[in-house]
Amino acid sequence: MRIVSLELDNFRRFRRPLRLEGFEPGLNVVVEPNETGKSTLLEALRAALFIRHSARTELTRSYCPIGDDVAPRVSVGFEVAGERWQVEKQFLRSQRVQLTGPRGRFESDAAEEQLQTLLGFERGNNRGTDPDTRGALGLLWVEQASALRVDAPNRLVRDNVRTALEGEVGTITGGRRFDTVRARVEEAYAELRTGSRGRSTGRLAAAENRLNAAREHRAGVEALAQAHEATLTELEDARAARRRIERELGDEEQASLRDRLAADLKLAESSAERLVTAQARYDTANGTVERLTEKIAAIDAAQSTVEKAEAANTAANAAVEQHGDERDEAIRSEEDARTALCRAREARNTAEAALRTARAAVARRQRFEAIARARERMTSLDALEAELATQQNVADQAIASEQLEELARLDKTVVEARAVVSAGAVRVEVTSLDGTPIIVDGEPMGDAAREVTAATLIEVGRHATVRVVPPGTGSAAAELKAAEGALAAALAWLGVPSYADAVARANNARSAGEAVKGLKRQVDTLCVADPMIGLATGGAALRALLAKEVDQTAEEDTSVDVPGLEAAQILRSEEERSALGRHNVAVEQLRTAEEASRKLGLEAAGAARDLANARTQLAALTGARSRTDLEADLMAAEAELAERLRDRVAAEQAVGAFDLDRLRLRLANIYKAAAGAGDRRLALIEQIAGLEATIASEGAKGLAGQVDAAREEEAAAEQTVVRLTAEADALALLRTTLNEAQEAASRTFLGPVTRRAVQYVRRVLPDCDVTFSEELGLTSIARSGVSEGCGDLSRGTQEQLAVLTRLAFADLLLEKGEPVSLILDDPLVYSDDARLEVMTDILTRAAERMQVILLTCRERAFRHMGGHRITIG
Amino acid sequence: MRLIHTADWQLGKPFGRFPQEVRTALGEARFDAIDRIGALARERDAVHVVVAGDVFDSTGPADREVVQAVTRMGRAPCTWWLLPGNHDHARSDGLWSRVRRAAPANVRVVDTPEPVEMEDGAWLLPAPLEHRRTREDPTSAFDGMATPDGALRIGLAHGSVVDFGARGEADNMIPPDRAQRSGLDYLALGDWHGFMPIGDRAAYSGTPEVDRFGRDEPGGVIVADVRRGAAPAIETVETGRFRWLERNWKLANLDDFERELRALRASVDQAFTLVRLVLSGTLSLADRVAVGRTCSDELSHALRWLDVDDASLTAQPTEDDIAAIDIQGALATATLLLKARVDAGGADHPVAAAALERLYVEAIRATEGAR
Repeated sequence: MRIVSLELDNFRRFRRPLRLEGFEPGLNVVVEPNETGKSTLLEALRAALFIRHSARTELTRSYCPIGDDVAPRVSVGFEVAGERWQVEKQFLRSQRVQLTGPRGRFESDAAEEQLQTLLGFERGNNRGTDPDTRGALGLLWVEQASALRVDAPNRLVRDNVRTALEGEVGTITGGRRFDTVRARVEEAYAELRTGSRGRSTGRLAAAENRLNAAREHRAGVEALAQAHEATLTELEDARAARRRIERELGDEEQASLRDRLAADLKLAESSAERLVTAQARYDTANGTVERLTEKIAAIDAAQSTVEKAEAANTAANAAVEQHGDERDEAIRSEEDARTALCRAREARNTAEAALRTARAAVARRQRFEAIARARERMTSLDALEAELATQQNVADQAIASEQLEELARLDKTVVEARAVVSAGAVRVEVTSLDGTPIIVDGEPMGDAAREVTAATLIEVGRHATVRVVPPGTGSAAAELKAAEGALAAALAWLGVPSYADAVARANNARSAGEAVKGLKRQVDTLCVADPMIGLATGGAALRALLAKEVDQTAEEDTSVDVPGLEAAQILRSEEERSALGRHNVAVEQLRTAEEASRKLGLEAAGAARDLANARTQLAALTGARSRTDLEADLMAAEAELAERLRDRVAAEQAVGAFDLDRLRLRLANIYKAAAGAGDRRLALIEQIAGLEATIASEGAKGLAGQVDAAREEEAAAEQTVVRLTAEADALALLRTTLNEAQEAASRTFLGPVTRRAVQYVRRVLPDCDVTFSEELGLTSIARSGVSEGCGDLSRGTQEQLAVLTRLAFADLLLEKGEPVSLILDDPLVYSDDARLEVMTDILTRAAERMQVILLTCRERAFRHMGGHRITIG
Repeated sequence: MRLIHTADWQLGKPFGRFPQEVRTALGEARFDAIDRIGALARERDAVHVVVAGDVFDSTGPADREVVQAVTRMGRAPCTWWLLPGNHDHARSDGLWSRVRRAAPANVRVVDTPEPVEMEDGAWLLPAPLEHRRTREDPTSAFDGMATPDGALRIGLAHGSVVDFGARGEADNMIPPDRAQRSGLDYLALGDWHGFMPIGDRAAYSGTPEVDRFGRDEPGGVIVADVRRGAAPAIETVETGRFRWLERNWKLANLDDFERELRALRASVDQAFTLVRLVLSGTLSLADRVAVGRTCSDELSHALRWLDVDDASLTAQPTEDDIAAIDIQGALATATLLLKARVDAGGADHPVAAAALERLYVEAIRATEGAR
């Protein structure tokens, strides 16, 4: 097979028509830089052949240039089996296909089918995801992405390879017959079970469903039939029960028994009534006897009580009388004791009063003395305080040391300033010769000479005035003046004429301060507290106390015997205590005597009352009828009672012949049973009618017949399931066996495929062995006895193996006369220089047998290869 | 007196194992038998038809079946005496109350063990069954059934006289000399589906329309002339429409099969014949497949019904058989794999045999398809 020309328009990046011509039978190399559309050329070839012109898939939509809404068109000229063909397809809009060749012109589906026949591929899904349908060209037109993978060849290729090898290894698969048989078996199996999980489906599932339904139906109908049978049995039972009850209701023996029992009951009931009457009359008589007997006994008891009460009353009165003397004695004793106690108390009071008077006198004298002492201290205090005030005044004149220091400094400044002024002074000596007073600056000049430090006016009487102006007076004089001013101010503030006075004053003040402290200590010592006269500490308290106290004269100094008085007072108290003890005993004795007397009085009163009561009682009892009358009544009542007893015994005997309760119970049971039987009969009649109605309606359904039919239906369904299951089992086994047989056959192909592939592989990897799977995929290679999975090999090696195994299959297909064309898009990217050279050599040789088209962007890598160069645009 | 004795009508039998059209035909034939008996009564001047039990197949037939039965009886010029058998035993308010309600005057149900006067001087002594199975002799009451001197005594009972073994029902046992013991002039029996005389005064009439395999003869009734103090004159008359044939063919080759088939076809009316075919022997695969095809593609269509049991018909693949599947390649490999399994005789041996046969069939079909 050979590609001759390719033309595309509005296809992906090619918005304008592009036509490539002059593809040669051998090696063709398309060298173009990246992004020029080499891969698009391969996609266009695939579109022209494998994709239905009418398809609207994501793939066909991708043919349209991005953003355009146009009809992509591809046209391919090719040669197969010596015939020239031209196919042209337009996609998406005004879709069409046209195939022109020596056998005529084909359009639409006919063209597509003719293409498939010519190039050995099958109709695919038009999404580019079904390599199995694309046959040899699908394997040999290798795009960039899949060049790296050592994929197994697609199904059509495998089948073709196997057919091609059959001459070599013999007919193994049985070819189309095998496929037909297997397809039929699969189909038949699929009618019964699912292929993947072996679950029932189709006829088998239907049969199983039918069986389940039949089972359910049978169970349902059986239940209904059983219920119907149960109803029939119930009806029979109900009828039997009704017959039994009706027999019972008509039983004559039972009726005569009932009558006899009723008669007995009547008799028994009248006897019982008579007994009740006799009993009542007996009870009445008995009551009379008992009442009379009680009454007589009561009279006797009352008589006896009266007698006892009389005796008790007499004894009580005697006891009261006897006790009266004892009590009088006790009263007297108490009076004596009380008089003694009074006397003792008075004596004790007198002694206490004397003692109190004596003590008060002592206290008054002690106070007077204390006041006198306080007056003395007051005098001393006055003197001390006068002195203290004097000293305090002096001490108050104290000058603080810092003030003194300041004064000293100011003084020193004045002295110094003065010295400075004096340095510039003029000595003026004026001598009054005539005694005329000399006045210097308004003052008489005492001395004959004087140092003048400032302008000074000297008047000599009325004779003359001399003005002396010393030189250098000015600033010094001013400073002296200022210093003097300051000193004068400071001295004035302190109130001293000079610094020396100030020092003296300060010293005086200090010694006065010391004196003040001493005086104060003396005052404190003098003014201590004296609780006897209520004097607190301190001079103020002393002064305040004495101001209130009136001067008293001292009492006469009579001596008082306090201890003697105290001893007398204690003696009197002891005497009073013993008198009190004696009186208490007497009181207690008196109380006891009075208590006894009270008790005896009460007893006597009670005995008198009891006596009165007993007498009243006796009188009441014997008031109506005397004891003798009552005894006569009792005798008559006892006679009647005996008679009533006789009557009652007779009645009891009459009743004893019957057991009334038992008779009643038996009769009631008989009536109840009869009534129950009647009710039961009615209930049964109702039940029977209901059951008859149910049976009439259920019977019409023919349930027993339905049960038989349902059972047979179930058996038939079961048989079908068994038969279909057996068929499915046989088909399952057949299916497995066919697969086993095919796998065994597949294995015999591996030898020839391996032999061909290894020749190529050893050019790149010397002394290497290769292993293929049953699917004819290269699984591993072995170097020096070490096996390596294809996936573990380097990218370069994988890519080379992918190309080489494809070449091996291409050779096999070529032998079979299949249309073969090898297109490699950007191949051998990962090959080193040495391998690249070997590979290009292999490809160059392959191009001698088939058309090879290389699409590459690496001009330099393939420069050494010969072949026909084609450029795009 | 002339009467027709019949039994075991089994009306309403469901025939659930058969396809619907066969069911309908078999069911209808049973009702048609009533008409045929009625016609026979007219033809033979028989005014009484005694039915010795199992009139219905169950105690609960559908109303339609009851009404169909009594309507067909009603139009015949005779009196029908119906006895409850074990399939349709008497229960209070059961099936027979429904029959009585629907029945015309010439249909009489004898569901109590009391003698009934059929006509002047002729008494019917019925032994109705009240249960499906009872160990007691249902005819023991005959001894106590008094009839006027000189009257005909005709017994009517349902049950086994002898132990019919696996094919009969061992319950409801009737002593073989019941007719003599109870002074009967004729004892009409039901339960056994074929004709069978018991002594000279009792007989099973068999069913008028056969309802199961195991009995090749067609269904029929008895026409009996009953005489006081003498053995009755008994004649059997064929009334059945469908034949139920069971055949066991042991085959050595295809010729055996074809010969037997020819003989069968010649002997029956295929449209009214149901056949149960049990095949045995050993055949080549080709022959076995051919037998199977003939049965399924031809015979089963010609007959009313065909049931083939070929579990015992084994296939021994010959070299030709194996060659016909394929001489080499995967099909040949599969054949050898399956044959090895069959020959090993393991538990899955029948599955393997079936798979091999299927492979053969499909391989031949593929070859034929290719031509």
